[in-house]
Amino acid sequence: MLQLKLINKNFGGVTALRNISLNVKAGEIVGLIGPNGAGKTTLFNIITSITKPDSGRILFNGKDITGLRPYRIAELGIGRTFQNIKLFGQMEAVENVMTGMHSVSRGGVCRCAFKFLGYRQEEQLLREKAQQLLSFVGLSGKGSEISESFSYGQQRRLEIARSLALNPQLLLLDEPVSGMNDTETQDIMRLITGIRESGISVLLIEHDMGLVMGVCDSVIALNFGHVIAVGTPAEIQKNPEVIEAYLGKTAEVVTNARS
Amino acid sequence: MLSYLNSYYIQIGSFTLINIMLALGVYVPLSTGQLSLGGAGFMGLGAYLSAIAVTRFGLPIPFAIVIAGGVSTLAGILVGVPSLRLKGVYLAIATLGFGEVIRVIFIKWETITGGATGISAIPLISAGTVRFLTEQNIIDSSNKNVASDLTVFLILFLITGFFVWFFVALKNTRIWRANSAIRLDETASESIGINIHYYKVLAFSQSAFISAIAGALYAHTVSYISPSDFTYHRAVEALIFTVLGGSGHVLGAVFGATVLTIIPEALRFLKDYRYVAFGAILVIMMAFKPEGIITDNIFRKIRKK
Repeated sequence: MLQLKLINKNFGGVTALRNISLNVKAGEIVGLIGPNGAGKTTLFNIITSITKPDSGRILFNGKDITGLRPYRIAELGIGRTFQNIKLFGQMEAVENVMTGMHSVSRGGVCRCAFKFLGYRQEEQLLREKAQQLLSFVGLSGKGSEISESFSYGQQRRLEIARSLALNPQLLLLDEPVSGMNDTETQDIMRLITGIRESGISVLLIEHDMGLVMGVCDSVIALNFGHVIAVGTPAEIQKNPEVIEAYLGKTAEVVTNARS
Repeated sequence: MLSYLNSYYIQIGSFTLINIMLALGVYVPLSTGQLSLGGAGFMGLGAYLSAIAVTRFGLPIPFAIVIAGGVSTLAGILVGVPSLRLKGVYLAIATLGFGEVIRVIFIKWETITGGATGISAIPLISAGTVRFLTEQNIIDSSNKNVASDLTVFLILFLITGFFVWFFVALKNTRIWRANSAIRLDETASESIGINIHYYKVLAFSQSAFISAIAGALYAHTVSYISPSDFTYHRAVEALIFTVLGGSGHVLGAVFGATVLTIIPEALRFLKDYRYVAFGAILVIMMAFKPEGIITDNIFRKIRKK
């Protein structure tokens, strides 16, 4: 459903991405791994059009979405979360999610002010749907709390709920479990599988190999803006180039010692 | 009964209402995170357009006010679109510049605007009502002025009341959530499908409209306007109303404009020192309540009780 064709991006003289091509198929969970600075988040920003690529094309369901404004990308059905959580801190949790429903709700200034054409019922429906999404991510009963007051893990969940609110077909998760402990990571893993079961494909960036190996159908490894390996989690784990990228040349000894 | 009312108090009331509209003109773009100081410019534009339409072309006042509002909204869109590239203080300076350009046009384009001397003998919005009441012998020459002031006040009250109601009604709706989202995080807003350009320009044009209506009503309240009525001082004043009252809530703008219009009048007994006292009050309020007097938290607490 998502196809990237020969994406290139330079920042100044630095190559961030070179000739990146990749595919995400419908119903898949794809992991994007690589050391810090490999270009993973840049790639997310390019898919969601926050950054424009220097060359290359992005196709979503066969439609060329390269260079569209970011809000159009969201409307077409690509939701995302951010590495450094970007919630609307001073809003209540449920408002965060309702704001995420912007593209799936209708109503201009006059309809909102004068509340005609069943505006109130629609608003009520949005609120109920938002509460459902909150319980889906494990935040039931916390709707009326200010999202700033949430713990780190809860904020990550809320951000996922907000990105699900726009009814995406594809969800981009940028390090969904960074800074979480094992139990929290387990919960998020279950959540991600749940998201896939509801028919949404997932592309995720993650350093936590337990999660990547546990939930991903396929893994793409990046290093210095290149794709260095594509394959199933098991294949990637054994790939010498990936091991080298992560641990350096003599790493084999270490991995062998571990296993 | 009318003779018991004091024209002076009624006029302060009328100016308060005009200031509330100007404060709303700052509040609306601020709710999307845009700091606009173009209020004085749009206010002047509205005032001059309406005054010229009435005195030169003999249009009925309500019609002239609507035209002034409409034209200024278009001007707001024209200023708003290029302003999308600007943020924070840069936007503030650009919009302030727009206001000054407008003011210089008023001074220089003498044939239409009367130059620095301005336009005088602008009919009051109460003119029609007063004529009707005199014909019906309900009022006579002894209480004509008070009746006129009172009519002006009531008309302003209805219009301001409508604007305030309108923005209170927009609170907690899809539109306002989008505005708040843009203020809190533009990148996140775009990533959830909010067209931030559209909402920013929308807020900007709404602000231009309200400020222009305030200006037009001002012209028909004081019956004399000159370029010096629309200096940047007025824009800054409107900003102070909004920020001090609480920029996070519509009623903050209303409260700020009301209190800060009345305080200088109430301090008249201090004579020349009244603005010193006024300034001190501003500093103290900002030091202790930088988020303004009226905030969302207050309403949350009230709801919980």
